[in-house]
Amino acid sequence: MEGTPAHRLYDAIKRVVGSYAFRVVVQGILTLWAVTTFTFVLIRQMPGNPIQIKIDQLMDQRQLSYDDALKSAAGLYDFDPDEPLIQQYVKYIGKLARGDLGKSILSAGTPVADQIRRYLPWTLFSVGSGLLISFTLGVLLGMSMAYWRGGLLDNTMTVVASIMYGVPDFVIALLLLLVAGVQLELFKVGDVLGGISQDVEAGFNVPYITSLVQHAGLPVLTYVWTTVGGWILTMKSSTISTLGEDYITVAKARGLPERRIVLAYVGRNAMLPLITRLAISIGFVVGGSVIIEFIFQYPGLGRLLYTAINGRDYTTMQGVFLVISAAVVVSNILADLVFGLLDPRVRVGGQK
Amino acid sequence: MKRYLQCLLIAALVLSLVGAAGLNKPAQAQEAPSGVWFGTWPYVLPPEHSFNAYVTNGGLETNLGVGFRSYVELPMAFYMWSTGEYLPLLAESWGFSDDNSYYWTKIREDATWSNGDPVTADDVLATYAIGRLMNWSDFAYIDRLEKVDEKTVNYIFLEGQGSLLAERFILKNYIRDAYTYGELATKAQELYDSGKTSEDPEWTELVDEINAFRPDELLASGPYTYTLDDVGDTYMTLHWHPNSIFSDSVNFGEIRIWAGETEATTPLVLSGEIAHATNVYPPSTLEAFAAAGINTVAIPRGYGPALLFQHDTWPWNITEVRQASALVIDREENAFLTNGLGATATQYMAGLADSMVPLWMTQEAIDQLDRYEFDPDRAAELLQSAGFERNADGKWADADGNVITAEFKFPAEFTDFSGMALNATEQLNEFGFDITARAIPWQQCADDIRNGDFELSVWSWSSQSPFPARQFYGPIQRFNYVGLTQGQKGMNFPMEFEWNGEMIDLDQMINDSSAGLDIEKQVEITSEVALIINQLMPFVPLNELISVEPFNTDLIDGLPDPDDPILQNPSSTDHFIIYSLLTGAFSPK
Amino acid sequence: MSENKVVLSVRDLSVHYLTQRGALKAVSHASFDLHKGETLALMGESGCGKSTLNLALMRLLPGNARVPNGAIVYTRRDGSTIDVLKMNQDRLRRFRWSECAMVFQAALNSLNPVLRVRDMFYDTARAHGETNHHKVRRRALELFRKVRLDPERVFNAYPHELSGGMRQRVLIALGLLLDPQIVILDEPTTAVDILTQRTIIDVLLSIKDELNFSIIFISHDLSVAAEMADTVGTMYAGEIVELGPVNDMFYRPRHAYTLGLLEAIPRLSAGAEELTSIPGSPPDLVEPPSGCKFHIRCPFATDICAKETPPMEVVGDGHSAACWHADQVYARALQFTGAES
Repeated sequence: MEGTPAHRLYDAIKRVVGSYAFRVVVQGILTLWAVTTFTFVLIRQMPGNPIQIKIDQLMDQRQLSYDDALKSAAGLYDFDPDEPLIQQYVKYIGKLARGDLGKSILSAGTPVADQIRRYLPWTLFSVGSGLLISFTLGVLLGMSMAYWRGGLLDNTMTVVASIMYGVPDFVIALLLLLVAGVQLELFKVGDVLGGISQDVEAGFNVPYITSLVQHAGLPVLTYVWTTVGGWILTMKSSTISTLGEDYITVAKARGLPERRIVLAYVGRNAMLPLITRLAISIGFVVGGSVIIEFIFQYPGLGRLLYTAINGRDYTTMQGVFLVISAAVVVSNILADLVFGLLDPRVRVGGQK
Repeated sequence: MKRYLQCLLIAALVLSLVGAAGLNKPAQAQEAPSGVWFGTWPYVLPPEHSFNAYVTNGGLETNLGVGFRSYVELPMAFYMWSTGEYLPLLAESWGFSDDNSYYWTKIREDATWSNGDPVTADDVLATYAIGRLMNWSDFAYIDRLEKVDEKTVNYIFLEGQGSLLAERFILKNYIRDAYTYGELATKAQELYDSGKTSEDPEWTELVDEINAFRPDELLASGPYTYTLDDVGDTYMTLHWHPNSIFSDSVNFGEIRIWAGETEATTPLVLSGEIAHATNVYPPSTLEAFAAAGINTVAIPRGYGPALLFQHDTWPWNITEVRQASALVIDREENAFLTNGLGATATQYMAGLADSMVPLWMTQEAIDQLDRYEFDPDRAAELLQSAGFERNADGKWADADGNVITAEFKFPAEFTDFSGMALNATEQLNEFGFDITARAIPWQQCADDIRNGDFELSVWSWSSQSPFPARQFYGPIQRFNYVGLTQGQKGMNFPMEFEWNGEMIDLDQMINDSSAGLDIEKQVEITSEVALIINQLMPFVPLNELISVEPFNTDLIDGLPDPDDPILQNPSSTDHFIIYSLLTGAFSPK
Repeated sequence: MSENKVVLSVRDLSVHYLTQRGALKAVSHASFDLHKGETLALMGESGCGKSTLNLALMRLLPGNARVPNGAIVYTRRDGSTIDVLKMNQDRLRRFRWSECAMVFQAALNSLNPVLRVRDMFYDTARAHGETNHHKVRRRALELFRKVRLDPERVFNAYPHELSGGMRQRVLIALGLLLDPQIVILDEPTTAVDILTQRTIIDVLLSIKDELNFSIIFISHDLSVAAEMADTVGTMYAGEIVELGPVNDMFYRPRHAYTLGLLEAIPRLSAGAEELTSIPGSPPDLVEPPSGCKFHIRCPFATDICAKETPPMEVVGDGHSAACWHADQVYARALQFTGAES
């Protein structure tokens, strides 16, 4: 019986189905499907639809009557707001299953996939480096503050971090432009907006990279400014509670050098609670930072999303949300793996 | 073999050099003017951005906006609001046929595209052929187009539809080139000629094809053109070319358009990098501009906030209550709180923009208009005459003790409408009404107004069109059952009622106020409609918005004097900048 | 006690914690000697200063602790002596664990959860100059066998994969890795079940005989102390109030507090009615009472107890106590324990 082909096939299937990777992939797909369905319904619950908004615009701007505006808007967009929701949904999921994100409603004829390809790299670059800097800085500062608790660094940074944490990003963005750019004239406002200067050749050359950094500077600074406080405060409290753990005292009693204690005993344990948060942040890197990109005219997904939401461009919104959810799902899987590496107690597929 | 290939290559090289030299017209020794114009517009980036002049949001249609687009694709003419006259752009002459059965336009003899080809009647035909497929509302007036000669087109009206409204459509349309759109236009024309309608699948397919069309280059009849490489993250650049009829008159070699809306452009304006911006800036920002020494120019925006009543609901169905409401809101104060210096109190209360009243009403009718000067005593008398009394709390109530109470929904995102709503609420409550203001998302607010799901609300009155029917249109038709789809009742103001002893249809009267070409008759009807609105106050036109636009005189010469009639053109349509820039009124400092 | 050589001599040691209300005198003027191979048990209620005293011995006190006076003199194997309080950071680091190791209460938290047991052994060895993993491994496996653990499995395990009793023994093995002269055991049996407790005590007794190190032992459990200890000290409110050989302490106590602790233990021989716990609670250590700090709770207290601090007096061979009424206590103790004078 053991060796019959049917049996072997069955065993193979069982192994695949039972494997960790399979479970993760299925779980990921199910999550994506659920989120997609949820956003599909949700964005259609927002007041107004693309046609309605266009009608309002046409009526305002071109003085059309409602019927004329409706006719024009319907002619402009390949979208029928009266189509039953379930029918729209089936169409959408059917296309999605074939890997087709559809075409933008507002910008008729433009595939959503093209839009995402256009904007995603910018967001990954700016928000990604922002997150990296913010996280590293937050972890280092937070740990230092916990180590020299009550010291000058701790006292000043706790106040500063709380303030930074509390000020909304668009305020920071505008302040940076208005104070540093307009009043202090540290830079020409026009030179720092957008993603890249128009006169540089794309490619791996010095002017291009300089321009890249120059344009990403303020968005990254704004991002770091508004998020680093959170990392600092979390890392500080996490480090403080870790420092109170017996194994730190024992490590000292064992005569371990300070460096080893900081890295392997305090750092590694104190960072565990931050990993989940980091995973979520990494996932949302993809969504960009709508307000920051809007103000700095940075060509990221956030800027695309802003226009899409304003005009109720359902397909584009769905596309962007799908990419964001996929990123969150993937980064969570990665976080699980990393978490397992860092904390053996939750090791994936562990012995117990 | 190798040698042969080499020869071929060299020959090809030589040939292409000769060809290129031959194409360079020696006559065009002209050089681009040196100045740069800096403007702002929230254009989108490629891949949404394209040269397709028919798709909204992605194509020229929205990406250059009505302003900058005129520098690329010229309309036939430019309308002056102060005189009601058109000034020539692409066309040299135009007019109605004697029997008003058609309209005609003649393109300037020397008009050419940026590639040197002449602009002809074929371009006009192509433009409209695709426009019909895209459901252009022009075809509510026009039956078909006829080519008379190379430069002249006749627009044959649908029976009885010849009017000033139709003329405006015709003269304002941007003319596309048949070189780019000819093939699609032919398909569209054939499809229409074969009797297909938008219900047919072929029609939808062709619309999809037009939507997906991505021209490689842009042919311009105006003095500027650009390539997709000119569309950057932060700004896009329009480049001067020598072949337009306006190439000689403009004084700027480049037009740089900075991306973004108010928030993104504010720092740019402040740092002096913008010549002129059309964004709507809040009063505090305008103060900052003044402090930074940036000049501004004030022009009408063409509309303003109106207080809307739900006529289906007590007590707003009582004329005296609405009149009293108009009397107890100090419009000067309200205008200031709506938008600071960017709003002005309505004077005539006629449902027409104040500047349009002398043009479209008889003096006799104007004299009869009730100006609704701020007068709480008169309002109190009116209410008492309608059976209301102040109760012990100082609130107005009817004989049964029902207090005049309502919820005032307003769109939270629009600071001007919010300001108007909050102040109106306060003033009404001061008089003794019991109004609660409630902020909701603007799309929701528009929906609620359409659905009649409100008691008091705010939306715009008047419009960006200079003709009475369009001026009256909002909100009394736009947000009333007559202008909405079935089931939506809007403000629910009955349009058929008895007036001076006879039944009238106000909806029809408004439509008639701009029908045909008999101006005298239009003035008569307009006067009558204005008086009815003035008397019944179906909505209260509280103020008119003013667009205060930064205009950097350190960069640009030629800002018109404040009393220049061209400044009466509103910001949202027929913007004075378009004409002044094209005709060379502006020059770099 | 195999030899009489003193390995640790604590003299007049005080530890204060800085608090908002003032100095909290956690340990006051503690003095004792620890001999080679001796097991010293410290008993007393929680908060009496036992743990602070132990931390002070390795200078592991938290940042807000101060040592205003005292000396902790340690005798190396070569006979030279050194005061722990005067070592610089580097010498202190090397002193720790190689000369004096410590096994904490709550063994789960004493091991870094993200490291394998072996890494903690390697870490410890490397910190003291031993980088040869083979040697460390051999030593560790040998120690695991001594503490009755499955050597291979435990060596490669993560802490969370081990039971409480196993972890406690891992710590004991880790403590012995560098062959220290002194091992401090802080409540080694508190957090484990009764059977594991037994195993640990057996392990401790057997390896102690074999390796001949000294132990300072803290326990609530007087029966464990009685079984393990050669010498017992009683601490109250930061002071060592009585110190003596285990039998003297349990059968012939001279301090009212020691007697109180003994009376609180249920005994097989005694009736339930005789079981008493000490009334009241330990005093405030920021503003401690005058005289004998126990006088408020003491059934023997008289006027003098409140006025003057009783001196530590020798009451027997190696047995001293600080009590104004040592004789009455002794008489009552004889009656209570039934021991011979």
